[in-house]
Amino acid sequence: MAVLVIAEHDNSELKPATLNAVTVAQEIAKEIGGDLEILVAGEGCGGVAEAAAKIAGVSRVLLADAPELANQLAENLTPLLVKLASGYSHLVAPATTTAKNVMPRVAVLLDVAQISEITAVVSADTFVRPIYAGNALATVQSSDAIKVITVRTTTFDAAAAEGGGATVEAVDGAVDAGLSSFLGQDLTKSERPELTTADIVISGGRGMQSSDNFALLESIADKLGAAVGASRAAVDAGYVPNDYQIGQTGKVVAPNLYIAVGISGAIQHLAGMKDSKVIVAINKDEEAPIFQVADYGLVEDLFTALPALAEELDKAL
Amino acid sequence: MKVLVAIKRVVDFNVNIRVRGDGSGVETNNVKMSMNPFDEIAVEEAIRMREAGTAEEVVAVSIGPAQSAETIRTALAMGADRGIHVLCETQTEPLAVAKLLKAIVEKEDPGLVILGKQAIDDDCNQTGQMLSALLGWAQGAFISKLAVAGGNAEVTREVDGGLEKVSIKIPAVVTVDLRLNEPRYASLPNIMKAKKKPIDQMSPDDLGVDVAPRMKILKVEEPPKRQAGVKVENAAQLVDKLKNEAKVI
Amino acid sequence: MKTQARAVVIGGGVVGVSTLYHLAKKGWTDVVLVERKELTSGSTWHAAGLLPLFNMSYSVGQLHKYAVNFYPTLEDETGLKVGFSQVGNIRLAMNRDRMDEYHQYAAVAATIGVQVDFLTPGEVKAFWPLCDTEGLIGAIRHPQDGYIQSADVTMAMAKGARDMGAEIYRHTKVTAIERTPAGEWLVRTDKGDITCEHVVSATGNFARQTGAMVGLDIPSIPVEHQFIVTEPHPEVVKRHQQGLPEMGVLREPDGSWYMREEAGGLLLGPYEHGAPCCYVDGPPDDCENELFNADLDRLEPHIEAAINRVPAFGEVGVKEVFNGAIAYTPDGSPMVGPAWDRPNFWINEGHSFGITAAGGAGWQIAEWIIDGAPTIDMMGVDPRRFGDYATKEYLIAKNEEAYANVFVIHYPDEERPAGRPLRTAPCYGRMKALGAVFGQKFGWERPNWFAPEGMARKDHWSFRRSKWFGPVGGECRNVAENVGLLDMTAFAKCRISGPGAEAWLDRIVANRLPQKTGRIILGHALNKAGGVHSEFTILRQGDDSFYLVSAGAFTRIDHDYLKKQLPEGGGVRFDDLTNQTGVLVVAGPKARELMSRVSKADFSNQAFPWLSGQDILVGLAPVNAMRVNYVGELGWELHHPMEYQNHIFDALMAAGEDLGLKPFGIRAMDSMRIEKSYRMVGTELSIEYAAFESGLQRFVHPGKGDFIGRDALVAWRQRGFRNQMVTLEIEGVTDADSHVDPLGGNPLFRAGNMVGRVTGGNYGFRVGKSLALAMAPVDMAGTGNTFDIDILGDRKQATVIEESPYDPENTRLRA
Repeated sequence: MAVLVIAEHDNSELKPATLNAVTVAQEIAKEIGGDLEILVAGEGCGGVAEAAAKIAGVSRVLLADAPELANQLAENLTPLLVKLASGYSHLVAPATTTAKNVMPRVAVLLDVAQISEITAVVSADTFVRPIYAGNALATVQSSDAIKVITVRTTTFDAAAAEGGGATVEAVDGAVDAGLSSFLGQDLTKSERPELTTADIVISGGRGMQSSDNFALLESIADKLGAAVGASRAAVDAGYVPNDYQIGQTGKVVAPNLYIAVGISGAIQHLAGMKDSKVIVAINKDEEAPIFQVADYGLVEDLFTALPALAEELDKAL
Repeated sequence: MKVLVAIKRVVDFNVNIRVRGDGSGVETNNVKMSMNPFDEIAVEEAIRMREAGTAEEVVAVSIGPAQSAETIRTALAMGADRGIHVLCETQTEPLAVAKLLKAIVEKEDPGLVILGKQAIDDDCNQTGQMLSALLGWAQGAFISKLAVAGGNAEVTREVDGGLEKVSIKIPAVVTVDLRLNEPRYASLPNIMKAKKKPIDQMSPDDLGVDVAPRMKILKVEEPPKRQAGVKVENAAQLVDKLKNEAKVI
Repeated sequence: MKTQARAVVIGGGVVGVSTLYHLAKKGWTDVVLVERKELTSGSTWHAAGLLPLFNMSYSVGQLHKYAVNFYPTLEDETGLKVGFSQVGNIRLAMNRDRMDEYHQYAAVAATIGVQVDFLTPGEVKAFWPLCDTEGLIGAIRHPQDGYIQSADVTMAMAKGARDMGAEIYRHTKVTAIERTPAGEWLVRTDKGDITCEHVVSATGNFARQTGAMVGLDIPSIPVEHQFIVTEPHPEVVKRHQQGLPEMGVLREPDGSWYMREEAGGLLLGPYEHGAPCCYVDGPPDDCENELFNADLDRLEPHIEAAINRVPAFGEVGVKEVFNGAIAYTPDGSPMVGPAWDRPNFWINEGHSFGITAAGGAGWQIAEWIIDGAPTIDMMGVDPRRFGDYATKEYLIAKNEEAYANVFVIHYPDEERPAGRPLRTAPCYGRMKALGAVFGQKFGWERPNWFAPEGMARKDHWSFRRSKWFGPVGGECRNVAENVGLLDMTAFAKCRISGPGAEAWLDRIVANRLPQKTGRIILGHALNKAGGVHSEFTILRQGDDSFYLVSAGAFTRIDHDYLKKQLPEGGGVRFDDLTNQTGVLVVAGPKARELMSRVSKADFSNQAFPWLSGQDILVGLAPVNAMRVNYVGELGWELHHPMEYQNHIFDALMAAGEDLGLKPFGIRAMDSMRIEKSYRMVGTELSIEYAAFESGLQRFVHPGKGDFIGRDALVAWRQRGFRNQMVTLEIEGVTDADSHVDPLGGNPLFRAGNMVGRVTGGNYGFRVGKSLALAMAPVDMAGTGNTFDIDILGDRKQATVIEESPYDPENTRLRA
């Protein structure tokens, strides 16, 4: 019995989310007394595989490098994973959109259930996962021979990226299912840290009133080295692109510091950030639900508060 | 082509859920239930396709207890042509639902199956993907745009880094994300007329599917509560507390 | 949290918060409110917020009027907006009976000072362009009412209360309510205990649970009510963009629905048949802001009627359907006042129109608590108007009926069938066989009238002369010519006895008590302000024993009033004899002959004078025969142990056959009492009129020594009375259809000004006249004075005549 981690990467770099998944894999591997291996599937991703091999506790890295896998098309990845799966008791991936796209397909073809977004490992077959936007936690026990799992990365520390010395083995078997083709992507380019792994996140809601006003948040984010996020309302209103969205159906973050600006605090947004260590809310409505979860609340018009905050940060940092 | 839409009856998204004291689950007795919000978007998309002439029939499918028929009626009120209700009183996992839907797809032969990205009760985000794999079809998951032309569909997907455009072969399974469309409200005459639209009822046995769950729910609990916070007077105080008290900056 | 307060209000909805506010406003600032979750989290938060001024009742109408005037003032007082949209309220009419109802209502409105305008269908369309006027014959409009933001007005009152020093404890759940040895209330909560003098229960859907804590069965169980909100409609949005006013609240009572604008769309609230009671055993323990699943199927006929009337409603999509609990009572009116059998425990529950009623209910209950009495006659909402018979199953049947009947035409003679028959006198079956058409009072079945041979035993209601007019006339004529038999078992009866009884009773009633055993007087209990609270027939049965009879409807009100005044040290004993004593009344010139045939007692005038009572036998049965009656004829009230009733009944019927003995009912009784100018509590007698204004000079004797209300009455007399009770004859009332008799509430006009109001009216069959009892200005009360009286929109002339137009010398009853 062994655990296979499906790495998250962009063909050139290994994404940090992989490391959180590795932490989970390590826990499971210990439970079952088995090995931990990583699969890197893509095109021209040899460098990623090498980085993966350096992760502490990994015994082997499988590298599937093929043009059919260049853009992580679900229909092409699935057969590969299904083929490889038979050697493992657990398939673990970070709960990224890539993994969410593929892992259910793998599970169903193995005729097993898929366990989404676990937040704790209780034992090799028992896990905790959030339901109802995280307002309840379910402890579930799987009776399947192979467990196909996605991991809520914000709940786990990242495994050490160095200290390991695994071998890298090529695997083939990648096919073009011929069902889909990649047309292009529109990725937000940013100097800022990635939202799901940033230490500090500052988020804006509908109260920001325009996309231009998000510049106010960005300048503060710069001072703090923070990532910028948004509520669904701000995304729907077109102030920021969809990948800024934090919430039940957007990204889930758990930074050390989360600053919610002009966000009312609907349950669906809270689901995406309520595990943050420290929550700050800035809103002119003192009855806004966000204040129920905020450690520090500032009842003030954000257009007054933000410039003041920028000034104070300059003084203090 | 025929479009199949899979919908689920869930606790209304506005309800503050209560976890049962005995840890057996979330209280759903006497609680307001509605169609899963993502599924409303799915139904809306299907109806727009029919209105545009891309689809000639919209069939709404739901797997659930007797009251799921009400949810199907809502889809019919929005404009779906007929419904299929797989009567199942026990909780089902996406694995079982996907198998049931496959059996229905094989009977109905649609060109497109549209599902919501995730159900807001179990938050699994699996069913559409599973169905697609079982059928050996293409999939477009978490889509915010859909354009069907000939034997293909061009979808825009919402992913972690931004947006991704993919071309998928028809027949396909797509799961819809929030920004695909704004679902219509059904008018009362349509709600009343929906009562006359047919809903075929069947059981998992009729479809030859074993719906026994693979996972046992050992317990359901509330997450740990956050401690109450304090209000600060101004930005200066805030920064001071963050730096010197919470030590996060 | 305080451990001591003057009053604790339990329940933080609009009603509880208004109660707290008004207590503080009257100077009791040491008051607190406890709320188990958040303010408004029961029913207030999902209320549509309508503020209808319309209510057929004189007292409830005054409460509604108070709210419409008071709520907007909160904005200046507290700085919080209440969101009052004074958009007006239109009620449509599709048939003549509905217009009659509106005219009757308009009369009541005039006497309260509420403006209501009559509209033609064309005028309706001017206010509500989206309304299709087909089938309408008219409408009424209240320009002053509209709707308000329910949660906002509650929060404003909460702030107002807090600003005055009252305290509100949220997330504080009451776990028990106990009496302390010192005679105070101890309210136990999960956050601490509070000792207080008064407790007010304003817990809405939890009413029965709160009542259970003090051993009371509070007759309120909620019913599900739904309303539908649409997405914006282009026509409505366009009107707003053009700066046109909001169309206002539209009600179609005949379709049983209301509609108003909401966020650019339309909101529809039907009152349908089949809405079930909910929370029958109380809401769940941690219930908060709870809504139920919608059931549009049972709304279908009303939705169709609404779309028919306002096609726009069917043109846009349904955004949301709200289905929430609303408290109800068996008659659909709230309960505002003292709890029975508990000192200083107050009930402000059963509010089906809570947003509208809260202001006035809080105002009056605060007066009641602090001053000892309200200023408005609150009989219509007194919690004690229901009895023990209001069991849980009864409530489920009646409350569902009350809900379904919210918009039904409220005929003056309306009787509702649910939960009936419930309490029946032994002679019920016999009366039924004789053609009785029954009504209900305090749970008792009572024959209202008797259908003659060949006529269906079906009631027929109207604001005009109904199908029962003729038969009732026949009953009256038979009483006047022969003798009639009336079942008055529903009377409230009790005994006051003990060494302290006479002295105590002498202070309760304003009349001199009978000196001799066997004598009867009519005694009135005044309230502290000198108005009339209760009326008792009092028979002295011994040195230390008095038998009291009063109207059945007031059984609990009157008895609770007496019991609460019983002296602490003892010496006066109260025994409730209501349910074990039957009452049959024989009245008419042949009554003496009849009685002589069934009893060996001496019924001559010498042996058995008017206003005396004796223990006799009728057949083999013991009877307390009281020579008194409410119809002005020779007659006796036969009070008897219930189990003998049919024996007595059969004896009378057999003996009276060739005397022309026939039964008569309540409607005949009412006609006959008007002919005698006999007053009734709730109409001619009320706390709003001084006893002397009601013409009780013969029964009220300030010179006899002190009694409750004496000083206030004397002071009132010194200040001068405004009103005097008069008897009026209405001219020009002839046939049934086009002319009608006054029903009560009709305003009196002199030279175009409203100067008085009718309290009760009827056609007097024995005198052949249409009569009314009314309150007129003192200087216009002499005989011969004329007024214009409004009857269903028509003006007729009314002339003041001598009291007791039938047999003014009382020769018949003293025969």
